[in-house]
Amino acid sequence: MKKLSLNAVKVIALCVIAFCMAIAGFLFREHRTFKETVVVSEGCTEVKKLSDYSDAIKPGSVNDCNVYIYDSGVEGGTFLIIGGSHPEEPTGPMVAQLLAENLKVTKGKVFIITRANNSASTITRIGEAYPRFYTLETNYGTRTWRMGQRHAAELDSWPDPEVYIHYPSTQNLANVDIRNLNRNWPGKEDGLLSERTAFAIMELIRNEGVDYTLDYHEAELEYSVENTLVAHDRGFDVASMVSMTLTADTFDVPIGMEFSPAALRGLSHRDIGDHSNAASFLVEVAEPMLDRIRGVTDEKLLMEGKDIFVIKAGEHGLLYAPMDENGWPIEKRVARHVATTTRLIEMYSMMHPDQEILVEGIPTYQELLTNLGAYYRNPAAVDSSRVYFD
Amino acid sequence: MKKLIALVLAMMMLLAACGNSAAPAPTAAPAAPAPEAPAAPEAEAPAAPAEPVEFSGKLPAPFAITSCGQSPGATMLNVVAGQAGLTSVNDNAMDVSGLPADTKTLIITTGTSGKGMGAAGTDVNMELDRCLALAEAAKKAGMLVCCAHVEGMSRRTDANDQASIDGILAIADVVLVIDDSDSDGFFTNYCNTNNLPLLKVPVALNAADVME
Repeated sequence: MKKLSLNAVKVIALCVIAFCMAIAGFLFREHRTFKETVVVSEGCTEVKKLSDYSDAIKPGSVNDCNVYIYDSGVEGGTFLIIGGSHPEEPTGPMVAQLLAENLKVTKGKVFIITRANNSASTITRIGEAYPRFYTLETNYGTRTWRMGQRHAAELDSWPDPEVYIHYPSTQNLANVDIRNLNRNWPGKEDGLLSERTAFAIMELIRNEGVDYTLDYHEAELEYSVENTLVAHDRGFDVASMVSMTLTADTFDVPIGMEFSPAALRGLSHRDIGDHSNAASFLVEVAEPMLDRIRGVTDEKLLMEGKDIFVIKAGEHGLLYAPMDENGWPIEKRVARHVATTTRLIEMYSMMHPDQEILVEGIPTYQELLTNLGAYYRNPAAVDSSRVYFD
Repeated sequence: MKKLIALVLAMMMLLAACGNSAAPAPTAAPAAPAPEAPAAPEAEAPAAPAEPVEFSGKLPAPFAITSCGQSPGATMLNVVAGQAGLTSVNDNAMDVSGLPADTKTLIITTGTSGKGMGAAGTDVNMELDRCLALAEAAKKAGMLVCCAHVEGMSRRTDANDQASIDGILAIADVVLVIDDSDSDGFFTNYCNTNNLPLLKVPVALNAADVME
């Protein structure tokens, strides 16, 4: 009887484990295979794949992302927008998609990548209890995005090295950063996944003659490089004008400016500029969900940007960005990045008239603050040729 | 009697030529205690301009602009001056040999960037040594020395920021700040206490309003 009972316990335990594995497997698969909808604007002239630019990315593989192209046909500057470098920073893909769905270029050419490190958007950070998805109410219904993490999925990039030696600088970085796209610029053609992804994007930049790039990020309020525009050497003047003018006429919380450190390798603001003719920029906005001292980590925190523990830290002056009961809602974070993009185009064009880009259709800072959802388009209301999936 | 009057007049002319009656009180003899500037290394000053620069409410161009702490404030002011059509050079590693002889105002922005100083292989003490030597040379050459803080409270967060501010304030003839930088009244109080002219503008972009 006792032996039978033990076997029964084992069977029950096995069933429970199998049940949990099945649930977890279903949830993981649902997250990994979920496709985000992108309804490109009428100004989109072509959509390529990253693999069109380099054999370093195999066609149809996880990081073979879409490249949305807006070509006015009028000679001017060329600009690359990079969203989704770090998929645990949700405004990146949201801003890139919003631009892809509203942009019209009347002079010059704009490229948009919404999911630069797609693999990193198929998993969330272990032990952090991140939500798998985040959603926004639009005029037609709910739009959903995958929440991700900083690093590409281990199994997509396997094996991690014991020590990550950045190519070509040979600087030693943390070994997990071999899967962090923003520690792998300018990439390596025969390297691991993030190295190859960065290399392919660099090939796009070099072959398309991109004049400048902008990489979207978010940062915890405990981090000093916050609400700022980081610029490569060739972009100092433009970045300073963007910072000063946005602070003067648009933002309630100033946007600063930082020089890209020459000694810190692998970052887009440094190594895109050093290995191409493009001036590279990176923009940061405050994201309370990334703070280590946060409380409950859920979609509400992700979207509303409010957390009592982070607010308390702000009361004690422990943060590098203001934090009060209003928090840092997604509307404000997206609006800041979009306004920075618009102003960057304006200032770059003003200071480099031979590389002028003229754009239309981008909503203003105030419009986004008041009705962000209105600027994501209904896929059911347009021709299917304008609907893409990331 | 005529000889005595002539002698007095000659002495007055000599004093007028050597002095700068419109300039703010030199910080070597402040009205109230000011932060003590670290000793500047000996440096050879550029050739003196024909007339010492007088401060008359605005900062006169041409400008030489550098940062004490490798933050981007100097770049911002250089761009603002350029957009206003004023002559300006910006070099955040500027030393005495790089100070243009035709400069009328040396602007030293304060507040530090850890990233910037790390990238430049420097620290706040080395930055102070360089900038104080530069300021000393500028003063010997009759230039105006302006201490600026134009990046707001985000450049007033730590001891490095304060060290660069205190060091440059102590040798400044005039102070330029934006509203946010002075949101706690620090610069206003300092300038009132030390009888220094304070130019305060809403944001860095408005610095052109106090340049000529």
